[in-house]
Amino acid sequence: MSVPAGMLATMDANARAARAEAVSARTQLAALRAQLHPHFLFNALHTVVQLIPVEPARAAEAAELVAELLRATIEEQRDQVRLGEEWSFVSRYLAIERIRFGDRLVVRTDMGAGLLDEIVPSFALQTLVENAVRHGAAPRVAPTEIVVTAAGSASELTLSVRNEGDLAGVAGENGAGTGLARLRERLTVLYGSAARLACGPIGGGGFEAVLVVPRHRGSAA
Amino acid sequence: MKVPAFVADDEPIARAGLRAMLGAFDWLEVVGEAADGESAVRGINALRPELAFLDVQMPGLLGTAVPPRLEHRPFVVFTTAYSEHAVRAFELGAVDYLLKPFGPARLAAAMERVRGALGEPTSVDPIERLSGAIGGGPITRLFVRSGTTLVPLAVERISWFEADGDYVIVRAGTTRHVLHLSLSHLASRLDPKRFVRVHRTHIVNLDHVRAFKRDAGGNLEAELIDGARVPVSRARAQDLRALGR
Repeated sequence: MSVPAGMLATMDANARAARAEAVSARTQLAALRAQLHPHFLFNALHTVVQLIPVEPARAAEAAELVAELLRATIEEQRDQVRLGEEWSFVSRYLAIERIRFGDRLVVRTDMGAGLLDEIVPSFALQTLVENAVRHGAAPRVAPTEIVVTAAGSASELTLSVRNEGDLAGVAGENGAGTGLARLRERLTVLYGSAARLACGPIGGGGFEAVLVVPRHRGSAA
Repeated sequence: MKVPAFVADDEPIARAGLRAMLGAFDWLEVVGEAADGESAVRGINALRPELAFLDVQMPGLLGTAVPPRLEHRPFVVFTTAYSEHAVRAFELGAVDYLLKPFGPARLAAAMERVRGALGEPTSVDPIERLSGAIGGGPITRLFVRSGTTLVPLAVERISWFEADGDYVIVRAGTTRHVLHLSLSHLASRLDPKRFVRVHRTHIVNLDHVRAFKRDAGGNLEAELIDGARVPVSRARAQDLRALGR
């Protein structure tokens, strides 16, 4: 469902807002399925169940994390949020995945100072990070490092998610392709041609997804 | 001697949790574990356990790809969050299929089945092999024993079922299988449009019925395509007429 940029430029703000609303409603359930993949939930719950007899405190902690993710996914109505809010969701997701994968998952982050109030599309970073975990780290026997960075220029915010190993199946298998396709669709609706998403292999092995959106600070609405 | 068992799962907590839960079964001993499919193949061939727990989503090699590569073939219980792998798992002759999340109670039921597979008496219900994993709705396959493996049998190939004490005899073409379950329980999981209980002790597949007729004594019976005749009780005959309307 791609719309040529030329056409988009002529769409007035109302039409764009109406389309954004329609896409938002349509993607809500899909977003729940994608951001909190049912199998992620089942595996996370399995982790909770296995922790109960041996480490009850950690089991409770993991259950709380799962509940917080679920609540945020179900209750999030906004198309855009502050980077700080998005990152707090992603952090909880990564905390659970780190409990599950143990030493096999290493996460490094570099969020440029003062960028946490920047406005970003909701669940965008989550889509990229989840792809890196599911298709980068999960299929690998060796430990996988995932590097999440946010950097700002005068006019643009750049979010990057880089993982070791190739991103097996990103072309479409297991829904990685659909997650990215849906994100592209949302970006077009929200920013027209002012946002970019580029994904591909990087030199020396690995995969990188780079999302660039116009800088915009404030209270997300 | 304890039954040697092997645990394969790429998640450390899932491995440790399963090992801890298996500690409740004093007749079993975990002799090894693996965190990926290739290591599972090597470990099982080297340690020759009688039982292997295989997670399906493992890096390198899926758990369902492990059994075909084994030189030593233990009984297998698959563990996974994906219910869609169930049919493949049973085609591979799995003893059971543990859907994550699972705790001690569900594991205990699987261990009952393992005991049965190991040759000890068991109260295993062959339908629960699938229904426990997949949930409600009419079953499309039954799993019947052939040697030490389970073989899926599509329900449309089944002509009729007959109750025999605690067992049900399944007729499909020229073959006959015995399941350890009640006819009532079976009936509750069959598609009522296709399978009709014509008698307290019989269920027929309507697609395999040539005709319903009266015998010399005036009693109604179902004549099946394979030539068999199955009695139809008076009460069920009325239900059949209702079905025809």
